[in-house]
Amino acid sequence: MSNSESDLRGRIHELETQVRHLGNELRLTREEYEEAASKYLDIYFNLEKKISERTKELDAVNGMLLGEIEERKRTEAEKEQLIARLQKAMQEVKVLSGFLPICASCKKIRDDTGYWRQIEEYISKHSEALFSHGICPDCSQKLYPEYHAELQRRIKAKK
Amino acid sequence: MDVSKKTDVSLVGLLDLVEASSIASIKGTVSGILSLISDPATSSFDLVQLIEVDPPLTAKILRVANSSYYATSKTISDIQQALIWIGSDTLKEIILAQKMSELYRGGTPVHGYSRLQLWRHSLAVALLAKAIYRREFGEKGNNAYAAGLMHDIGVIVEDQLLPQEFMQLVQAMEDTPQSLSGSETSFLGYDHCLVGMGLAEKWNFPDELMDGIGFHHNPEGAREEHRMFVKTIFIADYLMFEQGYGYVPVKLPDREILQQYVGDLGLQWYALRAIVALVREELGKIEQKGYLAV
Repeated sequence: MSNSESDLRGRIHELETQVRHLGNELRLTREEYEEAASKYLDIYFNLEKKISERTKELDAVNGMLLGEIEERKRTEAEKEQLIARLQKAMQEVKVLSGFLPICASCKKIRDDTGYWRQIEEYISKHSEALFSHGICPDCSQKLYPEYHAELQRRIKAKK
Repeated sequence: MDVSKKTDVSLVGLLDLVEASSIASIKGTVSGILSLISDPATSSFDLVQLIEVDPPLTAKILRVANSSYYATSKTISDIQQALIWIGSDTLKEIILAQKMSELYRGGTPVHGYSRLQLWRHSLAVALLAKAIYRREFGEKGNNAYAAGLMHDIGVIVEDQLLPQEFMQLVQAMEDTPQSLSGSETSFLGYDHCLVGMGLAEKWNFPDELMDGIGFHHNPEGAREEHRMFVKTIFIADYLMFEQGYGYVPVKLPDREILQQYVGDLGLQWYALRAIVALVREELGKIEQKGYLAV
């Protein structure tokens, strides 16, 4: 084999080696690329999953907050109703706490229409009070002198 | 041989010293990343979790990931992004290299030895071993990278924890050329392979890596299933010393042994030469970019 022929063979060997080396590098790089791509997708889908989980959580919290707002609104309305009732009651109390024109003799009361009413009728209409009729000792002596003495004696004996 | 020179610190004693020293600070991250490297099925989230607890390391990794060496078109601002843009295999290598480099800081160069040279050597062997796996065997070679980076971990342990004895044995090598293991054995009673293997066993490194560290000067001693792997580390170590990426003035073993292992792996010299040229070019780039700084 001549010198130039063996040089040429050597060169061919070198080139073949280079081709083999580059072939291996190419295959490994391709594998690494595929691996990286799949890792990237893993991370991407994980992120998507996290976002949807977080959105669900936020929705739940949102729902809870809306419920709380409703609850507060209802409480507020109840409070207002209560205040209105109280105000009305106070107004009614005021009617009875104002000046009442009363007859010095028969004790009838003049109402806002100018009509004179029995005291029981007037108070019953303007307050929650109810009347139960009886007779006081002075009036019983004046009106029923014949029964009065006997009545007083019985009351004393009972005591 | 002057027996009185021998240190009082036994191999077991030295390994105990390691646990109490600052060297132990790299244990968690390094063991964690090594098991991730040897188990490709781990998820990328394990990787993120492993380094996020170490903010200075995270910062360094992001700096490296953004350096012009990796030249991504996008600014990488967190580990997740680094994972996508530079890939988990490369990221694992950066993490291992950055964490390991912490051991090689400081120290004063003496008698033709320096920590920086040792680090440069480790990186060179890592790159060459990996390139042989990729180009010749068509495999990823992540384990080969890790073994290359860690194969001389015993040397840095001796340097850090037995500085006086270590300087003496380096000096002895300068005076009379001999192998590093020979000089270590006469001064310490054990060599960096034993120290490294002891550490690897204690720190639960994967078996393949343990053999790579323990038998990189004697591949025939490794377990059968790891022998080709360890021979690759031997070849990478030998060639890088020859190429000027050594760290002590050693006397290399006979070239015949190298020839035999090259033959055992079915490698051709012109193929190896092409790979070495490629790695030298790579190392040149790394040094130029200042990526080697520890």
